[in-house]
Amino acid sequence: MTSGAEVDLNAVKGSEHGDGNVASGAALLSFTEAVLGRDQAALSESRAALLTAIGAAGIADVAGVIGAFEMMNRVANATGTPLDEPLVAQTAGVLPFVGADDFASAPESSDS
Amino acid sequence: MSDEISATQLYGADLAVRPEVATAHASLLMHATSAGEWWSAEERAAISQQVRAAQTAEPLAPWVSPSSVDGLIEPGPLSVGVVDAIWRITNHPGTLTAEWHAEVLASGVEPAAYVELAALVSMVVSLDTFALAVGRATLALPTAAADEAPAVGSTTDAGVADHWVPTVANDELPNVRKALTAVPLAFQMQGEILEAQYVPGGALAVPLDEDIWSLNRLQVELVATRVSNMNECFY
Repeated sequence: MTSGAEVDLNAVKGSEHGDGNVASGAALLSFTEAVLGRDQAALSESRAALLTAIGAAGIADVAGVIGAFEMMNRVANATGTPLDEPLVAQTAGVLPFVGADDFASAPESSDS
Repeated sequence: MSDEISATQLYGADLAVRPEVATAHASLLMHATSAGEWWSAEERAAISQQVRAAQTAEPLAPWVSPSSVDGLIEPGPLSVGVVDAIWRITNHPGTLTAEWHAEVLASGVEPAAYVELAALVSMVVSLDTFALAVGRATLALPTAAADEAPAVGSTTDAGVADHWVPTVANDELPNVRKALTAVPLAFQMQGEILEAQYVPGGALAVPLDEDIWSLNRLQVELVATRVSNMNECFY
């Protein structure tokens, strides 16, 4: 982690926007994008880079986080899950910044 | 069965998969092909297989139903409407709307049966995405017992409140966990996966400056948020 630096939310929009000031952030984002893009060439390359950055245990744990959110995103979007009240206030300034106002789920997630 | 399967058996000795992840995945394999509360073992196996068919097919636009493409869907125990719903949740989770959900129910799917369907689709995608990420083939599904029928309606106190789907009132749960409470088996499996692969005890249980497994919390949240952004999901 970059000591003393704040997380840069631009990174949520893609690896081309930097590493978010998170340790190995660029490698983590490139790997995540290759997995969801199902791009085998990019996946092999980014997995090798991530292995160098965070090791074998790290790869398995990142794969777990990606898998967990592949599940949670589908559960949320398929069930019309509204944002929890505390998150509505906490994310009010963040969601438009990362383009979330344009998501198809936007009305359902903010109307509760 | 799940307690007897090791990470090495599932993914090989050269990967550093934690035992609790392997246990969760072994449970999920059994969960995917055993009878649920609304779908039989045979139907749940067919749902899981349709998820895999959707993931490996040539991409379709969200508005193109796989059942409308000649030869893409083979006849099976699932209705056309259910198969189309499986493919949509699998490949286009960012396009789901309340109107689309209402159309699925209008095709004859009971509200709680839809919850079980959506949960299973989501979990099989999760399992297969993990395998893809670590560079392994998808895990083989166990054979379903053809005569294993669902145990219908174990939860009768669920009702539609804040979600599109019926849920059981519980102020202790975050909404995304509450989403599956109408189907306890699905709710339990969701919890097992999250405990093994996200933050044990829930997102608020571990301070932001503490490590989770081999990662620090900021790394976990950066990856999670990027996945949600790519899936066009608020969570």
